[in-house]
Amino acid sequence: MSRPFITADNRRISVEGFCKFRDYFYTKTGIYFDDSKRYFVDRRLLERMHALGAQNFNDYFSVLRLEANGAEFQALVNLMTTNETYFFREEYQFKCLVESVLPELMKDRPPQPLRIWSVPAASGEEPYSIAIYLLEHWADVDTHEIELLASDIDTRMLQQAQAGEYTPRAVQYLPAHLLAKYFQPLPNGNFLISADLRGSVNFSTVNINDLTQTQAFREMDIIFCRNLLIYFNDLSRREAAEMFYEALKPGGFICLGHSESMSRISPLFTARRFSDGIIYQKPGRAR
Amino acid sequence: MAFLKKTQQPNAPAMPENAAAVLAALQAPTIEVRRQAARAASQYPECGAPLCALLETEADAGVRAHMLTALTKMQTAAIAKALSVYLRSEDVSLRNDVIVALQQMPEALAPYMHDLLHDSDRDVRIFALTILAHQPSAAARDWLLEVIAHEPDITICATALEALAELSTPDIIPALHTLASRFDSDFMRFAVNAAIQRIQA
Repeated sequence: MSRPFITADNRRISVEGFCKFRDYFYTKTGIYFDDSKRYFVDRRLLERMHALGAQNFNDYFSVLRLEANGAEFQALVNLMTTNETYFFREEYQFKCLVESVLPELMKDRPPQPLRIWSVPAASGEEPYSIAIYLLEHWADVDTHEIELLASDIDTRMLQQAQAGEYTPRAVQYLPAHLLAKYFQPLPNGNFLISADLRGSVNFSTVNINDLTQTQAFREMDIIFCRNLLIYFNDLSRREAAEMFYEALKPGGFICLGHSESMSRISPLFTARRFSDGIIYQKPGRAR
Repeated sequence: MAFLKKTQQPNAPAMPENAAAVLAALQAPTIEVRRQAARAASQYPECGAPLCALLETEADAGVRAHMLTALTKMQTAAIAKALSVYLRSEDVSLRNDVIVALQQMPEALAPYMHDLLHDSDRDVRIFALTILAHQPSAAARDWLLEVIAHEPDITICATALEALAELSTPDIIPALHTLASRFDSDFMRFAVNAAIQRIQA
């Protein structure tokens, strides 16, 4: 008989249980929780066990793995992923996009939509920031069609993104005139992003560790994947990098977070130093 | 507004759906098809050996990167053994990529580490140390200690010493003094002192 993975007081998960869950979650999502995340993981597991009325970790783990529709797995993913972000975070990359990357990408380009993918989109701050920045700072914005795709593994976050309601904290770094232009203050103190902007982003649920789900994301000109890969281990990072390589057009660009370096993840990309930062490029001639 | 409300996703090439299809696609003339096959290969353990063999002839660096990632994901002793053969390759890029892959599979490689550290080819011994240096574990430390105790080549000992300085604790300092006494060399005395300082820092 297998050993139960919850201790006698029913408020703690054993080391074996934690490790078993960690390996499973890593295999499914690429996200790896080291030992220092034990408390964070245990709390969320116990929260879901309580919600389902599971008596012990083994019972819960069986539901997690075997449930046909994957609803519990998705609920747990929503709890395990962190989504702290805000508008115009790492704004220097948007500046780099408009002042350096786009002029290079769009030069002598045949007519075709510019495809930008923001992943993870969290609650939408990043893709909406990209849209606002392009509208405000890219002189050619009206002469090109733009497809702005935004994906996240967390369905709860995507619902928030599509609703477009933000706290004052999320918009604190937006210049006041942009806040006034693109947002409507709500009686509860929050801000609702304009319907036009909400309609400008195509949101979708994607687990970037899932080959089948990511197959549909191709022919991208620019990918924003910031502050996600820091949660992955070396192998998952490399797999993610290779997925992004597949998703980009030759000559396409990928922006990582300021503490992340593609050069340490995969040799597939070329580091491009622009005046506002380093962005990684898939080799090949842009077309 | 310039933003398109509906996007049209381009058609993606189909992923091969079984091992035979993966292996056939890995021989395709189109790079993209081979890359897709390499990505799918990790789901089929029977693709491990053919994938290792194809590394040598695959000309595209992107496909090769995908193949090595798939092999790292599958990591078995047989794959580690097959990959370790490429430590003798004259293709520097392939060799370096294989070293990075082997660094990620310490348990799979463990059965062959002794042979690699005692290989008659000095370069292979150095590459084995390069692999160990990125495996912070008690087993790696023990292998490195064995190298500094018996390896006759001073450069290889210095390479092992550098790795040990990163991985170890003060209890190995007596072994470092023994190493210094094995070579009548100012360089080795300097290297040992520097390693001890780093360990004690």
